[in-house]
Amino acid sequence: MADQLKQRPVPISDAESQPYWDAAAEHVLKLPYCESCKRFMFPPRPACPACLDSTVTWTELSGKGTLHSFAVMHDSYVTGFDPPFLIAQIELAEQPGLRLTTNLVDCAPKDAVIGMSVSVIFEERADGITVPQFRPTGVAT
Amino acid sequence: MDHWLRNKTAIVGVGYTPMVRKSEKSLAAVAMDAALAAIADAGLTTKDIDGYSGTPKAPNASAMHADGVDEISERYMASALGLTNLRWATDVNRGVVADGIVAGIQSLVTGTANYVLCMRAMYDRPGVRYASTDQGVFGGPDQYTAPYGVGIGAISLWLTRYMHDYGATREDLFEVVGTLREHAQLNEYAYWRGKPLTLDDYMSARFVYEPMCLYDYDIPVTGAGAVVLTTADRARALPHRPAYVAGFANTRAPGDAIFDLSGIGRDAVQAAQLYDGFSPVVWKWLEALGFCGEGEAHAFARGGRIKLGGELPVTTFGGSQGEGRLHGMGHVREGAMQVMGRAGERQVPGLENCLVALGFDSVPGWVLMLSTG
Repeated sequence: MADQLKQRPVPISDAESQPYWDAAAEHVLKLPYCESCKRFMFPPRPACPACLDSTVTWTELSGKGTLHSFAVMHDSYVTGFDPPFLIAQIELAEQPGLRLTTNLVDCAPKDAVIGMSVSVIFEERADGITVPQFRPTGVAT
Repeated sequence: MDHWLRNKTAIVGVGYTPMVRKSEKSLAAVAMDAALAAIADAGLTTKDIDGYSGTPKAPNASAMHADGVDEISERYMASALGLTNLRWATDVNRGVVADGIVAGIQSLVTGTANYVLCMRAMYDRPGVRYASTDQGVFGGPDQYTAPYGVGIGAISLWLTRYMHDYGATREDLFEVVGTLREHAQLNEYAYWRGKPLTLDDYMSARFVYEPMCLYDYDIPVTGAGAVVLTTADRARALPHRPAYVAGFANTRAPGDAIFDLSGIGRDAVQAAQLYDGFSPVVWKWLEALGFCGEGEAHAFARGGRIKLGGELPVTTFGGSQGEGRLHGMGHVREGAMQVMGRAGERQVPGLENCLVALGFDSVPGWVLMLSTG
């Protein structure tokens, strides 16, 4: 399993996304927050899309959310995955419509239900890179 | 509404090659076949062509992006076809042919060119799995998806939610897929001609990105398509009844824009060539264009309503799913052929107006209204 994780693709960060991936490496989910609009944004942009203020604050989220939608990947487009596995859109608890695309893990495809509560975990990949994933809240590891 | 653009330009010739999976011919050779066929169909020669717009992008993960091999540029085509009288040429790079067609129309109405050749050629390289990659690092928007094994067809996430919210089923989706396959049986270019698809075939097909199965995807092919556009006054001197461009609207525009701009109402549309790169895209277009309300497309499409002979025949040539994936060039060709009255067994009787909708949300596109004028 550890070897397989090392084969999975990793992100290349850029000026906008660097704080996101830096936080993930510390097992923290952070997103840019606009203090004037009181809104998180994803993906990160150079400024708030609503007011164009560039003084956004990288803010820690609870890591809680609900399953907005999901699909079961049965094919392999990239290396390191063993199909079938779940791709999920998670709606984060902090804001309606604030969604990440990620994996739903520790959940059989047949057990995925829209609206279920999920919590963030972090998966270690190659080169010290860590990516946020989600799992059903309250399920034992 | 000022309809100043209405019927100022027209499609006057089409050229197409058969769609095959792997070809012994090069991409350049099939592109030339389609281009020369379109020019001849328009009653013109290569010397008449003074404008060119291509859509070269190979969007697949395994693409080499090599000119003449799996992409083909205006420079290559101008050289290969000896287009010595070009005075306007461009390549646009979003994959779906919409931008290229609209750029051609715009060059004509601004007097930049008089006869424009628009091209799309696609290549499924032998020995290579089309959509896969062993790339290990991803930047840009892919940094947020590829690390999770997200592949082609993220619309499956939209589909799961749509089915949940509106009670749509895979049987409903087969109304789209089965219709496209039926229409493909009447299309001489179609990859799937002679190979019907039953509901049982569909329901037992392997899942790719569940709830989407193999047959919810269009099919990668090697093939090429071309159309020739010109101004209305020149079009009238050419062999075929022109397929006039009554209007066009970008998908950024509100839903009624194409009907307002063309002066042709929704009720006057007698066929719609809706993009179908993934089968749920057809539902999205039916709703986005206001043929039904949000969440209603799966019900709207039931019972043969979108089949030839139905109330609104959709994608009458079988689409990218039935014919093969040329990223919308088939839709443009079929729209033109229907308006020209040349669609043979597929001809919608008495058709005067045909809508062509290209692209979908992740690939912004255009809606064209073609008309007998």
